[in-house]
Amino acid sequence: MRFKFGFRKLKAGIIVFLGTNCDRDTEIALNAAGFETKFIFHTETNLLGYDLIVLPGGFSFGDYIRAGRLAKLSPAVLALREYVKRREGFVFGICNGFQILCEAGFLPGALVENVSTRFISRDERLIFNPDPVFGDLQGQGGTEEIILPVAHKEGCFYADESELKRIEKENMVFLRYKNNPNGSLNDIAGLYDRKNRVFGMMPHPERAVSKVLGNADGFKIFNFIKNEILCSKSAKHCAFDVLEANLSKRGAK
Amino acid sequence: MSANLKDLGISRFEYNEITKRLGRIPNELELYLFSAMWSEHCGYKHSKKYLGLLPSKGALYRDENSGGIKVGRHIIFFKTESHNHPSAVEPYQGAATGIGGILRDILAMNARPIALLNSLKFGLIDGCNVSNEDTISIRRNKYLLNGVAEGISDYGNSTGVPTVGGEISFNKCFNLSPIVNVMAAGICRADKVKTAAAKANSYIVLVGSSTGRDGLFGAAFASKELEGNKEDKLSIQIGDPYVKKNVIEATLEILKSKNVFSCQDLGAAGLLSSTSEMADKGKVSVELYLEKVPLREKNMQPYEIMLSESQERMVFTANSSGVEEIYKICEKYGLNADTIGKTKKGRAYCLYMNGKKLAELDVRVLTNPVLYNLHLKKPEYLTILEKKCLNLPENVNEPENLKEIIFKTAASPSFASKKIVYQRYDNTVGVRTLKNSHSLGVCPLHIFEEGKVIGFSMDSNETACFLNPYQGAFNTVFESYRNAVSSGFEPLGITNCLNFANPEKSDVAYQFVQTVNGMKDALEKLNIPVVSGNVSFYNEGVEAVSVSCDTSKPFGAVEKKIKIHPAPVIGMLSKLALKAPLYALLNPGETVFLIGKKLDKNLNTGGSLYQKEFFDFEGGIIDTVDFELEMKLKKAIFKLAECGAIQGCKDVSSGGFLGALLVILFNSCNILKDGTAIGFKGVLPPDIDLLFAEITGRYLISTKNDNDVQKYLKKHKIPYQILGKADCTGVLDFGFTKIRTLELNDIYQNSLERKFEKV
Repeated sequence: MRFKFGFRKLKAGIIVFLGTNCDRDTEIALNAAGFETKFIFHTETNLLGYDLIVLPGGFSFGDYIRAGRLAKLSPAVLALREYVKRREGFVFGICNGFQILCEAGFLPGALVENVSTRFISRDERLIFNPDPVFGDLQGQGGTEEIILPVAHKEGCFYADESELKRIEKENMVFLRYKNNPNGSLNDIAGLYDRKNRVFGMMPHPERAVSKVLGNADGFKIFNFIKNEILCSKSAKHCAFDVLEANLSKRGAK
Repeated sequence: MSANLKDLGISRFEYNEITKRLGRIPNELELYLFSAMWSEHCGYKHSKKYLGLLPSKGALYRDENSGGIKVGRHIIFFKTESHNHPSAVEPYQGAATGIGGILRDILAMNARPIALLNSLKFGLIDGCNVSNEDTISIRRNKYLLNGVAEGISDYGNSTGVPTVGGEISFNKCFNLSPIVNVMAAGICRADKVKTAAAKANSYIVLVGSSTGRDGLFGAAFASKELEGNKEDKLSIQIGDPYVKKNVIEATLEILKSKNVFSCQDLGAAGLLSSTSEMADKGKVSVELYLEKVPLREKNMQPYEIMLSESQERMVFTANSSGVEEIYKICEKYGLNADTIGKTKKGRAYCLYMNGKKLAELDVRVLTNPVLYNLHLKKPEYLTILEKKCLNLPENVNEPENLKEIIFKTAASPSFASKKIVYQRYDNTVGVRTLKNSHSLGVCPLHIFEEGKVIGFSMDSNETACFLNPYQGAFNTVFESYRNAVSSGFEPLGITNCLNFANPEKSDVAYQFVQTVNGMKDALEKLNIPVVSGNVSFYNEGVEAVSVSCDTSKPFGAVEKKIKIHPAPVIGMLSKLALKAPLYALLNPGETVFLIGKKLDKNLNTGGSLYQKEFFDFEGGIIDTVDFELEMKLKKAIFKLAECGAIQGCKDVSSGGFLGALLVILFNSCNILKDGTAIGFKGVLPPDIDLLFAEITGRYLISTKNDNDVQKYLKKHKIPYQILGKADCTGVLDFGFTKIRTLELNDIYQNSLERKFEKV
């Protein structure tokens, strides 16, 4: 119906580093969530025209030295700095993407080895708090319990005391573990820097967008991001999309 | 270099045969080539004659790198590979490169890998009243298990292929030679499959890592018994999952091109076996220019270049524009790509170095080793163990003892949850794995290309195969079959990995042939084909028995060979036959039925986990399969599930029906909201041997409509027994004893982890 009126879909670019392995998964999920997608090879620098740049999970450049250390030097991530600075759109890092965003300084803190020193792959209960300031999205005091798969070896969120205070003060945490699997400080599983429009999270929402697989909780994350984009001032969209987004928010109230 | 026939593993008979077929004496380099191509690992010279017996109707590409089964418009390729020998010496790299190897086999068919599974077998990792020597071997076995798990985790996770399942078991026969079998599956459109057969007049391009000395003589190494030499470490390949991931993407991109004709992976015997197989299958000549092969070490000899098993390499044949395309794609992925040779008309295999011809062989001689008939003799132990009977202590059926045994079972390594291992494997990457996949008999994967759900499983039972190789293998096939049926899946085909000791010994040869026969008969009954397979021989180790143990030879250490039990591992592909999978889960209010063979004092209860774990007893007669009943049970389960009459199902295997019931309860502990725990009330026969007996042809089903299910079972004359009802009391009430569910569940979930903390 949207096409009939000449509206366009939101456009997402997925950066593919060597060693990235969730690129196709992320493409499937974004398409299912209503995004138009395109792969951006890590040597490309043109990020114009994207509403969202996604850094998917995997082992970029083999995670040599440490997770994200080499990826942050790639041309695409260097171009991403300009993209964020000029407020051209939103950035979303999942798992290895989150590690890269922290390593490159787009988000505060760092992700270090799990307390168990082992890789952890399982479904994890999470507290999702999409709007910590005004949020009562589901009418449950702003928070909602969701289940998403986690799969990482370096997923323990760490920040020094003052930074942690700032993170909490600025209400950056939109996702927390219910049963902390990796030793993350303050159970932090995901951060959203509203000012710079950067999201990052360790669990994998792109692996939970299918009824056949038995979990569609990932849509809640993608819809949250979609709403944030549509509601932002810079989105060059027709009012209808914004209206729709607002309606869905209000409807939930 | 000086080659001596014995070091090369070529027998005098084989040498004479080579000379006869060539019509001349081979030069030294050529002898090296024969030593690899005519090894057991590459040539299957002891097993080929027997493997041909296995049914193949419905299997596709059986003679290629990997066979497959057609599902809709796609072909699902799957294959197993063993990496037992390397893993015994260097568990981390051994397991990692095992995965690397099997992924390349799938990849060479132009199939994208979608799943990995593994079957791991180790010596004991705990025990009571252990001697000093046992403590050393327990520590070693824990080290091996940890290393293997870490290797699979690091390597598999990085490549982006989910490790969705598998099995782990412990038996003291694996103390010196652990079993590490890995299985991979991939998917490819039926019209896009590429094979190894080369075309004449094309170029040979080597892609991937440079060639080093690692893994030299790997094929020959895996074709003999482990001797504990330091040099064995040199035969281990080193894997690099990051390069492998790039090789996967590059290969799939390269194979899209019409100008690329064939593809082959470099595994055992590296460049030699891959290029000679291309020549053999394509009926062409091959010329290789060894100076063009990129090397990572100095002064490598021609034989080293040919036999190196450096990982992450593929070889392609292409025309000149295909070569350009390969170069371009490899540049993108940061991989080497070098044209190292050409194919021509004819049947010759020629090696050149800087213009000088080093070797020229007829490729048919090289790739067709002498095949042996095995000399069989029924081992004496079979008749001895058959007559043995376990005499249970008198107090064994008293309630206190039963309770203790239940707790001990939950904690025993072979039975307890292996989550400490499998939670290290990324099982959800690729968005195909269904939720709660660990509560199913098979690992379910969504093939979104076809809108279908398929399942994979790996099964084996070395104790049963030891006690009766024929019946054991037969039962293993049916166990795998019941795994699929219990989850609502229809079996489509299998791959196997046959792990045995030295086949040149008549007793091992007997075990091997009987196992193949048992498997063949079972598969023919079920009409399931074998699509691919692997054989691993020489799984035995030499144990130095300390002086004091052996009184006959009081001076000096005595060496004792320990052979593994016959361990045929079955990897099965199945397809979901119901609307949704049938989970092994239980909800409060549901009644549990045991359907199938009736419990009876006259049943043969030999080879059960209970007897092995608690009495260190492997003996007696194992149960046989009632084919008619199996068919009736499958029909009943599918029918009842289809009309929504049953909610859960689990096959009865290791641990008997009590084991199956406990597993269902443990699976269900996590599904209820926090605070409440599942309970169960029922009356079980307090006869411990029957509770744990591993009788074939039985399932547990759970239902909300007792009456409908009873009516159906009565009508179709299926024996059944009502075990009891689930509730939310949090207590297991078996009549003779009461146990708190969460307490038992904690032991089941965490006992393995605690054992590792105690290292």
